[in-house]
Amino acid sequence: MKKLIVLLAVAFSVGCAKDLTEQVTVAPQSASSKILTSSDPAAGDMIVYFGEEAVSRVESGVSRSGATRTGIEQLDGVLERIGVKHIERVFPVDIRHEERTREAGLHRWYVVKFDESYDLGKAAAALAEIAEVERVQYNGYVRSVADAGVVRPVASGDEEQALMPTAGETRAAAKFNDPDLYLQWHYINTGNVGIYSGIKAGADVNCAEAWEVTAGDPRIIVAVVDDAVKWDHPDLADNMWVNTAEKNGVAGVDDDNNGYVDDVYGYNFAMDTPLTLSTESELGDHGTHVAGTVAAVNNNGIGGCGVAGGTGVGDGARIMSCQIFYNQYGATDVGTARAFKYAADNGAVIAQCSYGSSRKITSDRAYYSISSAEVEGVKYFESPTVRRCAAINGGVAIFAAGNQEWNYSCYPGAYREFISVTAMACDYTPGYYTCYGKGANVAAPGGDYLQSFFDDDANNRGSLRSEIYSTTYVAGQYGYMQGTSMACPHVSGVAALGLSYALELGRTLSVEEFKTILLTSVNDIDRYCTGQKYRLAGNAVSKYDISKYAGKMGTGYIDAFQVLMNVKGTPCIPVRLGVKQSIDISKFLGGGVAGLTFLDKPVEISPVDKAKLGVEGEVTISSTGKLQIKCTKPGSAVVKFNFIAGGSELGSEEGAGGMAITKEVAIIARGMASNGGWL
Amino acid sequence: MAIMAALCIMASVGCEPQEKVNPIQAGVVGEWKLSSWSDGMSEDIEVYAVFNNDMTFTLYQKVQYVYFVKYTGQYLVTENVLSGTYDDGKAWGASYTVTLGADGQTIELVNSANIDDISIFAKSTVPQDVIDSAVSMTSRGEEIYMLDRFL
Repeated sequence: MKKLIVLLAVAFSVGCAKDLTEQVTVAPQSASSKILTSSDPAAGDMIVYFGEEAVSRVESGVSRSGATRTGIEQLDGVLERIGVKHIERVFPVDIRHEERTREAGLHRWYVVKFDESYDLGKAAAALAEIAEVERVQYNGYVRSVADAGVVRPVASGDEEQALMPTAGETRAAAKFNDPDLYLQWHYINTGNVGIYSGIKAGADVNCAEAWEVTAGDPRIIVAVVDDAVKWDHPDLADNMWVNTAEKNGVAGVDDDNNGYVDDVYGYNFAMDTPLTLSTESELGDHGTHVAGTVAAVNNNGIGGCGVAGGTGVGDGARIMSCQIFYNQYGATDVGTARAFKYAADNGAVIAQCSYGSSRKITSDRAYYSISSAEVEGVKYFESPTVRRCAAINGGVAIFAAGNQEWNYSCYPGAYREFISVTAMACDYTPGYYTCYGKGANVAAPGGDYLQSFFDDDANNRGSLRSEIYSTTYVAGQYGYMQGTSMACPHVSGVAALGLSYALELGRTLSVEEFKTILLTSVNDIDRYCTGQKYRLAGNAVSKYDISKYAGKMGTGYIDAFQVLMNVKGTPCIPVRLGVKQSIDISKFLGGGVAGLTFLDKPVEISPVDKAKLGVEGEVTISSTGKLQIKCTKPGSAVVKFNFIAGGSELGSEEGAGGMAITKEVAIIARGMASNGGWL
Repeated sequence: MAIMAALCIMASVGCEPQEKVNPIQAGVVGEWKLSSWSDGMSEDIEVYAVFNNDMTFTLYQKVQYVYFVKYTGQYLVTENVLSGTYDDGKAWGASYTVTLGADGQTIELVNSANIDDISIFAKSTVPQDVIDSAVSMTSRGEEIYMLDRFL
């Protein structure tokens, strides 16, 4: 009985992704060309982007009028006609960061609330007629990535006891005492067949090795852009970011003047209220689950672990809850934009975004036209001028690729500058649900319920063990979920580890450097994209060929230890003299190097360096991803590798695709000992 | 007879051969840091060399890896040429012509097979954190950083 219910629940979740092709309407008249529409807009709501010169008049007009007029006569006439209720900045003033907000032009974004019965098209047209208005955009709703199979947690007890691995197994591989770590194959996969008969040791993010170097730092703040995170969950509370001014301040007051009231652990941007736990949705603890993957408290004797959860002495990364979903509500474009700006302005350097549009959008331009405020918010979050941490100049936003099985990533993850994460199962194969292909950049464990569930097990109890185990609250404190939503926080947690280590080493990385590190610290996944596995077809399962994923899961599956080593520094490539060498560069570009698509100039070396090293012939990359070079004189030089992270085409305005990456590596041409010794 | 005996005694005292100390041998003993190499050196490279009186040496180098790797072995000084073998049985990549700095604070090693390959080492104590963190290579040249720590 339980099996049947679970199947239906899965089918429903997958099926409920709306299959809308995005409408991008550009009307013929010149005023209307300023209008960006959306097929799912909020009523009585419009985003207006003012010209540079006009905005100061708007600002004084809005503040004088109690936020219902701008002081621009023609515009105010329109506002009156449409029944204006309120005009305000999209990004509220945070006095600590107003200067850089204005430099980024974000003070020019306004949202106008008006009579909800007034036709949106007419309102937009009237606003667009105003010369001072540069752009008008409908304020669309964000939709969550449909999670493939949110299944309720299995209570631990006899069921779990029967399938526990031998005591030595996982515990030996890690030093934390969390009792449920053995269920978290996605951190340390020892090949426990109690999880799935076809499990393969090593299909994880390599926490066993990474945690020997670092397990997090409380100065690294990860914004979880999702449902609210249950801030008092026993396995999360100690790692929550706290706005101490608000916590110790007066209820109902913006104690720190950051533009938000009572934002103690974050804020509810969906409803414009303090954080509110979702109670009416099965997906309500989605944010809590992903937060646990990022930084559930490690080594505290309860529950499981988080990638950057610390070592049990209050040293985990911190979780900031930027709520954009509440029960059945999603934030608008404005709300989402505010979430990202808030995250940046309050110290977060990683944005963990397990959501996306379930519309079939296939270009950056199309996405921008329906979510320009959100995109600008994310860009602000990543901007190098928005400094809030010594480890990185800017921030990195990480998105889930989506669970619609499409051969392209959902947006905003697919946006050419943003990282999009695909999902891997406990045997290295792609999760059956994962989007892949254009716009997808890297893979991480996301689980696959159609593995343990259908194990040929005499005691088949509908095990969920091949999913991802983390913190929850809807039906218990811990539970399983699967999806690219679960893969994404693995990358966010690994990123938090990387930045924690950068802090420890006193290194400051640029956003480009760090994205390059994240996308090249990978192991090859393409070699596992072979054979068949189960997928859901309606209410039934069927086997399908997984070779279609090869070359399309991103650069590979992320390895936390490699990230840490790459944060530490870049090793040199030793090159022997006098002989043409074919050198393995997977250490520098990731384990999937043989499958990478290189750009027009795959490897560059300056003419000066070529002469210095007496390079003979061309420097090339072979079809198997090896550097081919012949040096005849001792010396050191720099080579640049130029390639695409994720797929075979670069993303652009017109079409989703991978990210252009340049990685610089030093080579040292010298006759060293055959074992690598200097002498 | 007595005179002959005296002569013999004088002769035998004068015949004792004196121990000759190779100044190059004496000069390389110590702890050194690679301060320059050929016409420049990547900032990412760090190499420390320790030559001991008992003809053993230790290298700590951060070249191919981002952490320090330790090599040990035996060295030999023949006139002004330095050569050696690693404990894994591999010979050095080359032998080196040694020139001592006038103040005893540097040594210059020139690859006997390639005079463009010049390493200059400056006297420097190996930092304790380098010694503590350095990992060893296996005899097959595999990095065992992970094996050492995580089994």
